[in-house]
Amino acid sequence: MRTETFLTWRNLVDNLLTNAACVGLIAAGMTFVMVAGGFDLSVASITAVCGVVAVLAVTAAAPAGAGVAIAVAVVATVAAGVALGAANGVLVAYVGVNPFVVTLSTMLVFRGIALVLTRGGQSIEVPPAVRDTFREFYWGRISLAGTPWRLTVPILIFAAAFVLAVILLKYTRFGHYVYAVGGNETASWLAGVNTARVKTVTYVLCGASCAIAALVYTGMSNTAQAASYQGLEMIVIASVIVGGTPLGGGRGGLFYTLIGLLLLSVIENLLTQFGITEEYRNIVRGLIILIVVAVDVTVRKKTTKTRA
Amino acid sequence: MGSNRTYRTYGTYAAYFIALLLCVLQGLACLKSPAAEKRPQIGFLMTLDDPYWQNMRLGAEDEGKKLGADVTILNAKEDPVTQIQQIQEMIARQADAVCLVPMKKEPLVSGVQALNAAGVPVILVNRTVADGCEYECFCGTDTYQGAVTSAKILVEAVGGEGGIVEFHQHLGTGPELARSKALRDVVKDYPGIKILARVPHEGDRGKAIKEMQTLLDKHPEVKGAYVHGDPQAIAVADACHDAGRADIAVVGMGGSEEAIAAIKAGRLTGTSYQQPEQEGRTAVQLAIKKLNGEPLEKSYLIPCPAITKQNASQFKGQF
Repeated sequence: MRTETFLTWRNLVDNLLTNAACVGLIAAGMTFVMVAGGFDLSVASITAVCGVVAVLAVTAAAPAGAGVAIAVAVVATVAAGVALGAANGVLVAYVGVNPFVVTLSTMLVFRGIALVLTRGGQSIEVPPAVRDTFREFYWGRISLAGTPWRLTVPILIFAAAFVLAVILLKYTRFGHYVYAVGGNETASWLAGVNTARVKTVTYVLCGASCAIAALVYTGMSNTAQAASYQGLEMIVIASVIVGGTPLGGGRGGLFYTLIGLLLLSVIENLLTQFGITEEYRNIVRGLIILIVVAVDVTVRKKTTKTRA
Repeated sequence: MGSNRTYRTYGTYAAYFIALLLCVLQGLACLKSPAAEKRPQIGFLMTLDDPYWQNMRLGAEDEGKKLGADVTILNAKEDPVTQIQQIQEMIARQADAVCLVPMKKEPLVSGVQALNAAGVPVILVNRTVADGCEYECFCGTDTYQGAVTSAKILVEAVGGEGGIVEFHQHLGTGPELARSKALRDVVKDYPGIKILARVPHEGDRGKAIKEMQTLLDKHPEVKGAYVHGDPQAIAVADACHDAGRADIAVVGMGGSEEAIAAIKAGRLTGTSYQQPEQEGRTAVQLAIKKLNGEPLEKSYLIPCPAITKQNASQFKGQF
């Protein structure tokens, strides 16, 4: 296979980074949840519902013109993401059900909602009048001033979201609370942190990030299907874990997730570049996650020993 | 935050890992590229969730070997979003031509547009896309004609009247639409025939069996079943036999080895014969023709004859 095409702008930016950016949007939200010690299996289903909501909203608002329709779609989609995320958050933080169980259930419930909204899973389309505008969410290109290179809209959206997320997690009181809740929930609560609210907000952020990703993904095909994005949650969670945010939370962060995401994306891209066939791909994916995490654990054990 | 130190260790490891991979990759690329350079690169974007597709894949790969082309098979698992990402991978890898089994009609327009923009010729295989994009040609089984053939076998088997049930595959896919339409077009001429139920099997035999058992309770008067796809048709036929309802006529679509055996054994009433291996071969041949600058027609249809107990011995299943 022509592996030398790996190091081309078209492959690295238009393909690898653009598709990593879509996953990265959700992974950024997931990082908040996981640093706070939570877990969210329902992200793929939330994204599916949001995609459907985006198309329904843009269809309803299409007569008002493309600009208005897109604005309505963005607001409705983010609202849907926030609402579904809040449902997860309330069940985990206030009702006190284990996040794995909550999001395993809502994964099914939300997927079901997407099926109901699309009358049993038919693919619904963005109306022709708005199509050319809507597809820019994914296919749009913006030139870098003074260079022949162009960045894609998903990369720019991801970059903006990532910067905001870093500010929120690293430089605000809320961000510190997220680490504190993940590190030691009881101690944080005793110290006066409203742990339930902090946890709920992390799920809301995760829902909102799914909504933004849904807009980008919907732009890709100008359609929404209830059955799309199956298995996306695994790639997202793998990115966060491979990056180094542990399942228990309290540590890690967005830059770790970014590293994990890029690592997995590069590997995924190489699998295609080398023409690895489908049946071996999952084996390679799984082994790589295992190897990376095993190395991490081993290294951490060693450093802890030498320090002690 | 004492743990930051260990995390930095981790981060370095990850970075090393990427760097190492890139080195290995570049090394391999230098080793491999001189020999591989001249061979045409063909992307074959499809799904593999049924023996049918596995056979198309074998045909495509084998024909690629024969004609000296590298054929890369990518599985989109019926998801158009995945398929569009795979299209981008193919563009990024500068494939010379793409044979595409579009997962869905409308969503793939954007994907084919991207191939058009990149100047990569597109051969559609087995299914079509909606308007708004360009492709060199379509090649594939005449799905609608095949489904009409199956529907006619069923109508004849039930004597032109009575209740039948329909098992359909993933909603909104090209074949689902064609096969659903084919049944209605055939039944239109038989006012005595009534479609009692329409249920999804989602490519799952277990689901087909469960649904058929439920339907036997609910509609004991059922006389026939029209099933999109052979594996599920066999499952439905088995469910009928187990329930002591061997009188129910069941037709599938495809003509798999298993289906032909079931027809010979009298379990399955009939099916229409598709040739996926031939589809895969034809698609790769057409891609190579296009790359050699030969003119192509717009459509290459591969017909599906009827298989019933009378003629089953003449057919050998391709999947």
